[in-house]
Amino acid sequence: MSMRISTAQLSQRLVADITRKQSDVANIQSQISSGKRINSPSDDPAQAGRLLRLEEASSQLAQYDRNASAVESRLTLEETTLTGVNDTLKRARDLALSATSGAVDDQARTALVAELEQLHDELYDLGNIKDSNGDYLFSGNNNASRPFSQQNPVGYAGNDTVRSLPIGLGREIKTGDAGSDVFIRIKEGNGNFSVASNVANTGTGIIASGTINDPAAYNQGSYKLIFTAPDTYDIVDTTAGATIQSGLVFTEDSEITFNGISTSIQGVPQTGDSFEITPSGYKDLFSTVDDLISALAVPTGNESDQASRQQNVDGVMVNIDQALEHINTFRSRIGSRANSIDNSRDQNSAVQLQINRTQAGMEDLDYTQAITDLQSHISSLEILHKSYSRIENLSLFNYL
Amino acid sequence: MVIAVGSILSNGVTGLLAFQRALNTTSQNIANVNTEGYSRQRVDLESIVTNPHIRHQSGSGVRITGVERVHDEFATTQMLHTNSLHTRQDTHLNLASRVDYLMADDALSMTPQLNNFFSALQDANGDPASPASREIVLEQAEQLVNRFNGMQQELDGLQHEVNDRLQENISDVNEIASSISELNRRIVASRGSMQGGTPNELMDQRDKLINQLSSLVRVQTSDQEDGARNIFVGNGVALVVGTNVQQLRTSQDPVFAERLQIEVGSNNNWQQIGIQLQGGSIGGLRDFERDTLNPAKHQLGRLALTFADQLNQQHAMGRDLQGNAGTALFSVATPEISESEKNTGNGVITASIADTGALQASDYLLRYDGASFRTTRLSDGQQFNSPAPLNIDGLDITLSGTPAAGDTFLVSATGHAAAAIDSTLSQADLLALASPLATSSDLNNLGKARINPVRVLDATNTAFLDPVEIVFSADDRFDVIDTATGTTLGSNILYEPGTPVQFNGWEISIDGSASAGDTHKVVPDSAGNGSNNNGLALAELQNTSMINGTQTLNDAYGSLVSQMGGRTRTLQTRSDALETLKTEAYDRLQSVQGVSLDEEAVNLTRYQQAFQASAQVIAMADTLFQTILGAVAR
Repeated sequence: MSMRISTAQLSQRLVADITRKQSDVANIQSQISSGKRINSPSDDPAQAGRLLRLEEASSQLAQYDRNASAVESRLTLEETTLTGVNDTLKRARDLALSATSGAVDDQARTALVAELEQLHDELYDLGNIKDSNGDYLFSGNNNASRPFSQQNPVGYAGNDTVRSLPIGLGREIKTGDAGSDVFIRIKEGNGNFSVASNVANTGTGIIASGTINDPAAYNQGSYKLIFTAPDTYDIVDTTAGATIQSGLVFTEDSEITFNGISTSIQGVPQTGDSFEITPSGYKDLFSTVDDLISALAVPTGNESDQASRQQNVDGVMVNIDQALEHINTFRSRIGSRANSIDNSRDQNSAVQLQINRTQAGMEDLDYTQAITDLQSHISSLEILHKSYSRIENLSLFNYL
Repeated sequence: MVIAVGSILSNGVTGLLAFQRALNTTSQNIANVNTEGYSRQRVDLESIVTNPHIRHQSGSGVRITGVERVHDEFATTQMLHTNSLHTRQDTHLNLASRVDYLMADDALSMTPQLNNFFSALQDANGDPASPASREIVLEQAEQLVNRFNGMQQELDGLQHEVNDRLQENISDVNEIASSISELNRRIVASRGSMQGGTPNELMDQRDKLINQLSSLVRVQTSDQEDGARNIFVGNGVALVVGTNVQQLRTSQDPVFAERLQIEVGSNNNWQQIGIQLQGGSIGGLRDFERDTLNPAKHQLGRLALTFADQLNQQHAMGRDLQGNAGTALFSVATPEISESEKNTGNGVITASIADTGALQASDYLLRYDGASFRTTRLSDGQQFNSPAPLNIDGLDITLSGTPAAGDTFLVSATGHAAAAIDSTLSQADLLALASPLATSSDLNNLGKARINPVRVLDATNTAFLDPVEIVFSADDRFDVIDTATGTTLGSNILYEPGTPVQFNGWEISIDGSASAGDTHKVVPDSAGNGSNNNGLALAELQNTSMINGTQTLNDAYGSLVSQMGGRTRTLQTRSDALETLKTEAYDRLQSVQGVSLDEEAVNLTRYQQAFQASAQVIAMADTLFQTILGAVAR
């Protein structure tokens, strides 16, 4: 049996149907205008939570990029500065080399010293450079302290720590290097030990900087070669105060080896002359230039004085070579940091791309689908409108 | 035969009267075609039998036995039931969808502002000594706090709205109840005077009111023999019995000060009915309050509380630009304790937060039974039976004084925490981004080993800021000496490059090859303002699972959003389903009691024709009379 339909019911049903369709149309319309499938969390609760997490991840990636740029600008400044240091040291080395040639007299050396003093000041300026924020680049975390002051050895007011910044998830990178590491912690001599002639020497002997020929036998001891006669010498362990070898025969320029150490002496030592071999400590590069200046400032003097100067200049040259190598190590570290920044950037942007894709997949509207749906909703709404006008006119009273 | 003519006449007259009445009823139906709650009426006709013992008796016309109100009790009950179910879900849905929008609104949502805050912190880490970048951190902290406060305000606003609407609804219930009892009185009275007739219009009015009542609360009815209808609401609370009415009223909840409780009674005798009042918009409001608003408030509060506390803890491990340990970045709400107005003992409960990481988003209800406390976690009903002091979910609860049996207390740590959070740092230079300790390796060291920056574990250690020297006694052994006290903290420790060692509340590691005689130092630092160690640790909190040890801040907010979205979606589905059921019930009811104009048009014609025919009968009887009278006169 068919259901009895009251007149009010008929129109109320129609109104309800039309309202429902209109709300469908409005929903799709708002999706189309925002371009998003999810307009409130209830549209897709699980995805809404995930979207917030993606939003956070995305914001962190953007932050990593900003951090990378901040690190990069500091590293660029450091690289430029260290190139300057490198050039200055090379010039100082050239000057040292020219000073040792016999043709240079006191006057010429005075001119060399004047230029070296300028180079020396230049090095201080480079060491005390400030970054774009007005912070000293080489004072570690003591950003406001001028790191280097003119003393020998140099005064350092910075500290040893340098801040890091994250440039990727779980990847932190140092924003620079402490001045103490770059300018001060440079091994003197050949890197293992350094040599010196006694200032009271009367002969013309000059000891070579030497090498380690047997690392296993080298024990970081301090030694003295003491000439008991112009052609005889003893080797004394100065730490223990014990003579370890005595009455050795000296031949100019021939190799002297003991305890893993290999060196030689040029020139003619006199009885009582001595030469020291000590484990390498650190020599800051300002002091190295200072040492060169004070070595060259000594007047020509006698043969022994010249030998002493030569000994000092040789020592400085070895130290400059150490410093150059040291500075270049830091430059290449900067290079590798720049590389890892680039790598991080690449990785971050790959992740960002992935996030964007996921986000788009989760919340972006499928327009084709949406337009089709809209079309079908609109046409059914139109049909409802038409049927309403037809049904409303349907009444027996029209025929009474 | 004279009797026969008279009977024809009287038959005609009864027909005339009956069809006039029928036409009247039809016109009443037509007039009320659009009247809500109107039940169509039908005239019941019956032929009049004069004397069944007389042979060839054809009856004495027609009479109306009643004007019946066409009605279906079952359909009406269905309608009431589905209506109160639907309004309940719909009311809840309406409010929940506002929370849903609120949580995801870009201008209110926590996620973008948490991101902004941590970004500002990271930017400051890039340039920790710069006042400008520090100012931005404070600014973003302020904005974050504003969002927490703002979100809580919105939620509190919804609580106010719930209370207002509850009061309105209750007063509507009372009004409807007294109208129904008045109608009951009139219906009983008129049925008495009508002798078997029914006061249809009054009954329609009563049904309409009952239907309105079902939008407010679940309704059950039962009929008395005298025609009065008794009304029970919720789980059987008698609202109207005959002509007696019980009133409902709202009053402040004795434990939850911001909420209302509902009581039933009259004059001075009121009883709390609380959860018994289900269904309808009142039930919906209560559902929203309990299932949506409350969890949202507590979860937001827990987020604010944990965030503030964990940042403060880390901040205290750093050093500000004035050289001091970090002070509190944010103010943290202390748990609120409220006790029932009905308590008779003098017990006092105090609570403090021991571990924000263990907090649950819930209130705790403590009830004293005379010997011990029974504590109920209200979010899930979990009960804890233990005497005070009580340590549950990161809370320390202690008791002093003597409570009486039946006394109840409420401990709320998270409910209002999002309103209480405030940023407390007044100056940018008080932001403690730097490490309070600096490390250095002696410049005279022969080894290449370098000491790494300190990781702060516990800045409250009494020897925390003591300068400490790490001296290598051999290439692979070192001693650790506190130079402030001269204490040897460790001796002859095996050196393993990169392996951290812990002293005085900090941790350090050393890398590289060491030589005997090398010295490394950990010293208190007040100049290293370029340090961002603590800033990095603060920023790392963004990725730390600090909420319950399982969720980061944004995870926790994300799951709150998902939860609210999910609830709204479920409610939407349920509300849609119930709307269909309600429409069906309405259709069924309408199909029985609604007026159909087509039907009335047919009736109109039918009764009009019968009326005309009855008139013809009278005219014909008159002719018969005239004929008979003419014959007699002749």
